[in-house]
Amino acid sequence: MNGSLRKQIIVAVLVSQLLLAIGLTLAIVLYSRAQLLSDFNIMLAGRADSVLAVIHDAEDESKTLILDRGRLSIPAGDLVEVWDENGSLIWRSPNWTGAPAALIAGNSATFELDQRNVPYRGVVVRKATIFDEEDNHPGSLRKVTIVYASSTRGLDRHILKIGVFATSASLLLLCLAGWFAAYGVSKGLSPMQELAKAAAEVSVRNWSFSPPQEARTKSELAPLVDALEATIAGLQRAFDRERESTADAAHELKTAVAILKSSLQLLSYQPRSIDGYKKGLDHALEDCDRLEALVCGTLSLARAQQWAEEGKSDDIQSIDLVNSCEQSVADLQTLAQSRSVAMRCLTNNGDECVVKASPADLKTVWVNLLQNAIQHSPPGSTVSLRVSASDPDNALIAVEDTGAGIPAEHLPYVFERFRRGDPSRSRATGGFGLGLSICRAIVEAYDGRIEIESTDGAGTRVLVSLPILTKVSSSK
Amino acid sequence: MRVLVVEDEKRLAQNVADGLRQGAGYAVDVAEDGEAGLFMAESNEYDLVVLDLMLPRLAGPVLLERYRKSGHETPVLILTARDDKPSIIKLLNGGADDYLSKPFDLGELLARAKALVRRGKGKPQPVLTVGDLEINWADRTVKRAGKRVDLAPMEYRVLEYLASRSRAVVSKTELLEHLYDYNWEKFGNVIEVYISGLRKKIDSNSRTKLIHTLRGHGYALRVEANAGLDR
Repeated sequence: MNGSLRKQIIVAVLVSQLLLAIGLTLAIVLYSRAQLLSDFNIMLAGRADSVLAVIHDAEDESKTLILDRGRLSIPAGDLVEVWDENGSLIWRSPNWTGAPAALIAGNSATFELDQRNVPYRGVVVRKATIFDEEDNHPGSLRKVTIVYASSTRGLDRHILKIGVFATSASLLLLCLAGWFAAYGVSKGLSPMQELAKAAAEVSVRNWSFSPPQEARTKSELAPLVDALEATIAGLQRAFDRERESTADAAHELKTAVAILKSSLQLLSYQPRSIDGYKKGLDHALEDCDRLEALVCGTLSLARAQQWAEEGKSDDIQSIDLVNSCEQSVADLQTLAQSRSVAMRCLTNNGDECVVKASPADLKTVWVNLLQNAIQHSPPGSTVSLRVSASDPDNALIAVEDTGAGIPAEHLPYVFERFRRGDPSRSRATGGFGLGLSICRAIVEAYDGRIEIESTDGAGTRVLVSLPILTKVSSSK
Repeated sequence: MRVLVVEDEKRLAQNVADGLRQGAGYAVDVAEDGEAGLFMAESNEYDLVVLDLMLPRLAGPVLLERYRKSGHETPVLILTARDDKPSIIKLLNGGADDYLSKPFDLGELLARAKALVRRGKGKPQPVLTVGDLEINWADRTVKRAGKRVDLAPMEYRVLEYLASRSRAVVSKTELLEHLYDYNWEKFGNVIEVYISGLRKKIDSNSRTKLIHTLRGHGYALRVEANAGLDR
């Protein structure tokens, strides 16, 4: 097996959590960076203000502004430039070659630049007003432009730290979540494994299927449990039925062989006259015929059932049902006369029903049904066979007798093999109880249906319905 | 000895009955369904019942159960097509004495039938001896003082039954019950004819008489301490 449901679920959970972790880490890093940058900008503005505070008029009357270096306290690495209104440089920190002219001319408040491979971030404070409060009278209001930049190395380091922390925390949580997912999924799937184990324990010898109670309560597994239970119960029924009929077949075959064997052993038990041997051999031959009939019946039943499962015989023709039934009635006329039973073949409204089937199969069905009816009819009664089109798609063939009928409690079983209208079978009619089983197998192989109705003491009616190929209604 | 064969397969019943008649010299009745079988088994005295399991009207195991429940001790030999062990164990525990699975050997059936009858009479020995009289159940031969005695089939059957109940007094009715099947008209004087025939063949050349008549009671096959008293 190269696929595990458990692995698949765990991988899906982990992948989704990994995406979540990456997203979360990115969000944290980006948000922290924005926050830190805004803090940095405020700090820069503050420092620019402190620069502004130490700018004042020169002592002379040149009206130039000077920066009092002595009072200036800014970090050593910071870059400062101060320009007056007229665009002349008041002061520039010695570690700087100066800001690009475009920066001062433009109107962006912040900027970034590299100075000797060190990233800097700066602010441009334009038109900052200087209040010179010397001599306790307000001086003239003078405006300057301050460019102040500070290295962002510390800031970058800070952001990197936050990133590393967020990433490692995410990874740790991911591991935990992965472990929980694996544990949860394993636990969640355990009813499935138990169910599989319970299902694996079912065998031909042991049909008891006991699914874990947990599986029954899970909405995903309950339908599976139900389906498994139904399938296993169905299989068991089919298997038991098959086993029973195999046992029945074995009983019939063994009995037939036992008869033949005992006949022959009896014959050889003591010396007999020629006539005695002749009689014994005739008996043995009769037993042989019986055995042969039983084997043939069993085989034709097996064959018909195989067709029903795998498709039909090769000799499929269009057959006129009325014709086919009339022929079978004619074939059984001698048997009927020998038992003083009359036979009628009726057609309804001159319906002409044509079906696609093998002629031999249909004949087997009619002969079996008619033979049954004749055998169970009292002398002087009538067996009738009626062919009609029950509806546009189906032909209905009814074989009816007025015999003893079948007790209601045996009716459901008459189509089963080796049944003779009695739970322990009566051999009075000499059959094997295969006839109706063969009929059903053949009719079902042609997608038809066979039913039996019987009133105890008043007769039996067998109804066969077969799908019609074409129906030519000759209304007269 | 009289045997009941309960078997719905007519031909098989007929063969078994013929085998028992020809091969063991038993009187045989045949019942073709379970109900008739139970009725006959309960209303007649049989020395053995041969019972098929799948019977119309009343299944073999049910027949057996009812038969045993009503107190009958006659041995029952089952004929079955099912030879799986659990069903055989169930049968034997249910009161059957032996079984044969189909298709069986007629010779084996006869041997088992004879053995069951012997055991049912409390005589497991294949050769019964009464004084110097030897009766071989297996090949149905009789010897008196080591010399073979030729008996007519009916005479042998009378002797065999008397020997199986040796020392006891067997009434004429009991003999009729156990020697003739259902279809015979039973005439008591027939028994007297066979007894006198037996006496002639067994007792006439010997000093000790073994066959005794107890007037009004019946017959006994035994060595009497004071021989000749009954005559």
